Amino acid sequence: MDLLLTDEQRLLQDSVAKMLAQAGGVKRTRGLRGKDGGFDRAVHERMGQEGWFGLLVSPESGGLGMGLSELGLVLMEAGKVLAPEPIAAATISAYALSHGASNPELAQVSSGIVEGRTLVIPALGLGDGSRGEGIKASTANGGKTRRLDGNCDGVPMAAYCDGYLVAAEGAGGAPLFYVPKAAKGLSIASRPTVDGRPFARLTFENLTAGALVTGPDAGIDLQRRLRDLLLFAQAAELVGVMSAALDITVEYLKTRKQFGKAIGSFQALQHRAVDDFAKIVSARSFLFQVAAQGIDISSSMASALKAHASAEALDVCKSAIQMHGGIGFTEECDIGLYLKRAMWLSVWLGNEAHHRARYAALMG
Amino acid sequence: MFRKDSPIDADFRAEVRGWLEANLPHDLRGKTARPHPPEIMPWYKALSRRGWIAPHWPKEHGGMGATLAQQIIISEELARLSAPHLPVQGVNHLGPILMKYGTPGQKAQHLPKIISGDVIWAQGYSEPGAGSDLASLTTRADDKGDHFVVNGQKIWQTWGHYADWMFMLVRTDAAATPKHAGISFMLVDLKTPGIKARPIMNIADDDEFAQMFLDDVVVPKENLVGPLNGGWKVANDLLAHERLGTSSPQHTMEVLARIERVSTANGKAADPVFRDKLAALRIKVTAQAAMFWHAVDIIATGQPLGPSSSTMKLVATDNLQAATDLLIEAAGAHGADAERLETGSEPTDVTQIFLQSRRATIYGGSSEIQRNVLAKRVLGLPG
Ligand SMILES: Cc1cc2nc3c(=O)[nH]c(=O)nc-3n(C[C@H](O)[C@H](O)[C@H](O)COP(=O)(O)OP(=O)(O)OC[C@H]3O[C@@H](n4cnc5c(N)ncnc54)[C@H](O)[C@@H]3O)c2cc1C
Repeated sequence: MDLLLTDEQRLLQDSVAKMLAQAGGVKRTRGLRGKDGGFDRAVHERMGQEGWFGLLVSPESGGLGMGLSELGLVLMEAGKVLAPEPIAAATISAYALSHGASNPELAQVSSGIVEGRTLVIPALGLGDGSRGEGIKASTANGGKTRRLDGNCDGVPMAAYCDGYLVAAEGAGGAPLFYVPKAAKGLSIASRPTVDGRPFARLTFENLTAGALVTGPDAGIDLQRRLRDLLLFAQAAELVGVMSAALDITVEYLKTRKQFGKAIGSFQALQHRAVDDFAKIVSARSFLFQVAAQGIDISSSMASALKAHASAEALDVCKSAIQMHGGIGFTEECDIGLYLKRAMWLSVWLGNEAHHRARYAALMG
Repeated sequence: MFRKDSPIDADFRAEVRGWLEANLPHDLRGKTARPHPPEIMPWYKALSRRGWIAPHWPKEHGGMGATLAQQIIISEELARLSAPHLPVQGVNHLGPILMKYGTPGQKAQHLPKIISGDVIWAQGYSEPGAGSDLASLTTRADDKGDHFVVNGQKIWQTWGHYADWMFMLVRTDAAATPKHAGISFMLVDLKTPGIKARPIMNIADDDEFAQMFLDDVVVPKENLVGPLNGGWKVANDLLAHERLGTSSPQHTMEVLARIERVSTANGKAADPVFRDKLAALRIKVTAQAAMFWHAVDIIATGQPLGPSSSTMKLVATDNLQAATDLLIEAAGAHGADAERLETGSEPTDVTQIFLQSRRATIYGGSSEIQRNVLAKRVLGLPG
């Protein structure tokens, strides 16, 4: 079941695929693993120049004014070649910041993100208060300054960006702040991941908060929107990851010979590959049906989608390794990188179990 | 696991536990990858000196001649302390084969050095073109009177670049039909001129295996095990031992222990949904253990296990992978961490073992191959 794409969407998809291939594809990702955040700021800037990060930003604010289907297409292509740049984070931060654009400081950050010069990563944590997590906002100086205290875990590439969109609580709501990386009172504890792109725990200690992206009243919606859009974005990347993992595997099944024939002629593997294919097709349909509902994405659907895409992508990637046999178990074979990326994406902002529980809670 | 220890067994368990706690070095505990020879071999030798390196070997060959209950106890106690994986090609795979097929000279030369840990063995079966279809192997051994000359390539030899000796399958009759009727099993000293090993990194960045290049390698005739062109039966007998080792519940129990540590440290252990998943897995592993120790019992009576080793390997490896899936789930937001997690008294690795566990359904005959074997040989299905 091919996607029903407009000519414009097809053009976008092709241009993204072309740019990523020219940049060096999976080989480039392999070379960047574990070094300086595992991605390339220069390539990130090129993506900005291509307009990707302004996808969700209105044309009045300097963006393309497109929607989630287009974002899904871009991220699927990125997932297919394991592009390591934080495309989802940039696109969705730009969207969130464009809501605070009347503030000149934020307007500047926002256009920096869209152009790819500035890199802002959402720091949302799991949002469930687990293990004492959470950022408290409080006011000081008779209300003149706001302070942030607490911690936020699982922030990707935190040491290699310029600032964060921080989901806080308190001060009469759930505000979202822009905090530059250089802010006093912020410490970053990075840890390496199997994907070669670090996660970090941010600790805020008596930090003077930067600009408020939206006021306390509207804050709840934007925090939530930001989280749900990122969940959608991860699902899109996961769909790309699993579909490329299967494509690579199907190619291998056609070429590797055992018992005098291509291993793809064995029914056991044909059935396995077809099961994986069906998983991909249904996850992809799910993704684009959710996209079609528009930017006002429902939290329950976002969690359902993230849970589903994580589970299916991990399964498909494990199966892909199995169908490769011994070579699939080596470091030098790309198929392992797909499993590692699926692990990373499924973990960021909550794994399958986390989002099943969130979905169940939201459904009541 | 199933029954209380008898008083004698309880004493034995206390003795094993006490000795392991006192003697298993702390930095060898909780390792996912097998530590390199300089780290692991002193421990191997310590176990050997204590007489516990080969519980399942008969006393006449330097083993412990342990009862089934004692073997279970040793394996449970090793799992309890997260003891590291030992090199097993000698003690679990080749040893039993030499006892059965070896000449008196071969037994005398090799068995004591397996027990002592003075010789590390590699398994030279697979080739670039012969994995699942092992019988199509092309590494040739040409008969030169009092010796063979071997040429070809092997791949995926676990610890091939660290091993001292390798047992291997070679083609000694190129014209044989079926193909497996022209294969012989022989032993080669890896210091022989003409052998090169290229280490290969695995998916968890461990230099686990090697590709072996053999160029005009001279192998004395007395290194042939079993009859000329009769290597296939020997090889398969050995693989059954390998599958038995892979089926040991010890591997999954070790992962269960990690799940416990991680979920206790981060509080997931209190989540009823998580507890239900863990209980379901524990029950499966208990059933697996029952099957495993049943098989060990059958072997102890001298009966062949036949294709049952394939059934066990399927169940065991499915459980192992289900356990590493649950371990990743338990780690939550840390389920992609490359480093070990802080979990109370000792840190716990979750992602390396998850990646490493991919192996279980590939080596020693993949799960697909085991299913093919069982469908035909046990269920008697046509085709
Ligand atoms: C960690 C590890 C350690 C190893 N250690 C050793 C060692 O020490 N010594 C050694 O000699 N070898 C070793 N091996 C090699 C191992 O035995 C082979 O990887 C295995 O036999 C599979 O062969 P292959 O890799 O060529 O895969 P292939 O045979 O190419 O298989 C690829 C895929 O095709 C499937 N397939 C193949 N044939 C069929 C069929 N007829 N029906 C259905 N599906 C089929 C397989 O199940 C697999 O999914 C090791 C492998 C691993 C992963």
